[in-house]
Amino acid sequence: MHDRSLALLSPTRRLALLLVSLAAALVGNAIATQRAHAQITYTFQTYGDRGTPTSGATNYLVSWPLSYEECLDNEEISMVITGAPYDATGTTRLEWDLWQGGTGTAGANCQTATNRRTSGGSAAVCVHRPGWDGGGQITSTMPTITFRPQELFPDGCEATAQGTYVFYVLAVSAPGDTTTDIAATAYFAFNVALDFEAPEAPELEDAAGDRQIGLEWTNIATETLAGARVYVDTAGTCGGTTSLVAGSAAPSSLSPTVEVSGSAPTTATLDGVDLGLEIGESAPVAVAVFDTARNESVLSNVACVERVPVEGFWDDYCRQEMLSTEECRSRYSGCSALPGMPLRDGGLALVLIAIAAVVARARKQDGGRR
Amino acid sequence: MSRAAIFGLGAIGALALCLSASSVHAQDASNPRRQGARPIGEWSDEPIFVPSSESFTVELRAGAYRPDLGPAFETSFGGDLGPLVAIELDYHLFRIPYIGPLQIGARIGWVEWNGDARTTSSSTNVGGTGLSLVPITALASIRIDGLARHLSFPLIFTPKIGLDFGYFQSGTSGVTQADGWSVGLDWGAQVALELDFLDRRSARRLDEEWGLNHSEVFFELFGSTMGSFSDRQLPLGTSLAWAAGLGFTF
Repeated sequence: MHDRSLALLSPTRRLALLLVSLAAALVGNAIATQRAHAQITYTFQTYGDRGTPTSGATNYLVSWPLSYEECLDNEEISMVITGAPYDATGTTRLEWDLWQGGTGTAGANCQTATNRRTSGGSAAVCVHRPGWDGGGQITSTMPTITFRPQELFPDGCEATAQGTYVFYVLAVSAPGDTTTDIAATAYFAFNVALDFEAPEAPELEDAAGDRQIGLEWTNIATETLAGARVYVDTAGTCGGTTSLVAGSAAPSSLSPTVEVSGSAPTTATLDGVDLGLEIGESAPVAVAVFDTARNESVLSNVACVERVPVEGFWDDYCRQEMLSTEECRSRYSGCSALPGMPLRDGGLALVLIAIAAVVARARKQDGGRR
Repeated sequence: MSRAAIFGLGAIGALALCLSASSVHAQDASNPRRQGARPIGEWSDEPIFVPSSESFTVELRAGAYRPDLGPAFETSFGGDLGPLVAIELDYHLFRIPYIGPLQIGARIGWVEWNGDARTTSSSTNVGGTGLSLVPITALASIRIDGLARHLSFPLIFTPKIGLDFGYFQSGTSGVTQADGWSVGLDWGAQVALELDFLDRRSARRLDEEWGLNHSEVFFELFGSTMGSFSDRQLPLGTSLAWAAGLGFTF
């Protein structure tokens, strides 16, 4: 039937129909390709001393919230955008716009025009963040956009600002636009959290040892931690004068002797020699834990770390032989295999003799074959 | 036996299985007779196999070793048996007819024992204490493979005697307290099961392709008098220890 109807057309019309069909197919394919590549995504850039985020890690700054100090420092939060809907011809002017939302109606977002209100009110699901100076006209498919913490949060760095926020970045024809729904390919959302609460201080036990002094403490904090810092006041005395005060912040004059990382750190190792302690000497020590937002707790109780002799196999063996450790060491160290010849040289001589024997035999066998 | 010893033995066993399996696989894939394709005009079933010359035996060993150091060793290390891992290379000097080759060789190994350090104030978590030993042995042995060569009975017996040079280090809580050398005599009695009988074609192919005449698994009892000749040497010898492993003759 189809072939018959085509046969009724003249050759010229058939050719024209074919060309139109080809053109339609090419345009359709181009549109489909453009749509396939137009999905907007983003990647946070490394912030502070946090690890490198993975692509599309929406919760990068929720797993590692911003601390009070970081909020005050107001350093840029940077992200790289891919699939930005820019217009290469410049005929359609697109700009970035920032909204904070998701608080009014469950599942609502700032993509929908009715959720965006530049003024307050009960219907204001999304709040415009005009403090952010957007990137201007979008002229690149991979632009980098930046925010500063104090531009993001409604209460700045006040304690009331603590919490988790969802922000929407929209590609719009005019910032603050509340009239047009935004296409799904022209916006994205990301989360940022503020955490100003320091974890509770741990309880530390006294410790003793020589080159490896094992400190142990009990964590009181219930939140997920990121590590602990051990402070040793080698100028202080146990039970006497020290700059370490339980329940207070670590003194600025002391740097952490050891820092350990982990979600629930409970141990650290000190070296009595590196601390400058002689056998029998001791020093005050305290520990503070810090959370994922880098909030450091106050100091734990002030415990005592003491350098004491540590015994092991060699001490046991020397005692068994009724020798002092030094006598024992001088007796068994560096013996000789032959009079006047260090054992090392004797062993080397034996190896050389064996090699020479093997080579001589091989040469003899070769000669026999010839 | 510690987990490391079990792991070592397992690794050696796995290596033996891999070698055996790969050789059998290669044989099956390349042998037209097994695939039912007998070449036309062939008049001989098997080409005459001429084995390559045998000059060396190499052994990969793992086993338990516990020096006779008295109660101090027990106090610090409890029942720690090592393991002792070692490699041995023997050179075939000449073959005694109907008996087997007379060999000289050398062996080097490593073993370490670990325990917890202690303080007089009974503090815990103060580090560890350890003793490590690197035994180097010059050996003479007779590899009695006459049963395998002439009667197709796949057992090989190898008595060994040699001279041990042992370098030791001992430390506690990250500090080396002593190190030194001990010398002594070494003896060993080994029984090995030659694996050729499992698949003689594969064994021949191993020889043709790799020059490996024979492969075997072995078990050895041995002892050492390291340090007992002088009261200035740490007595690192043992009255009885054992090792097992894989051997190759090439």
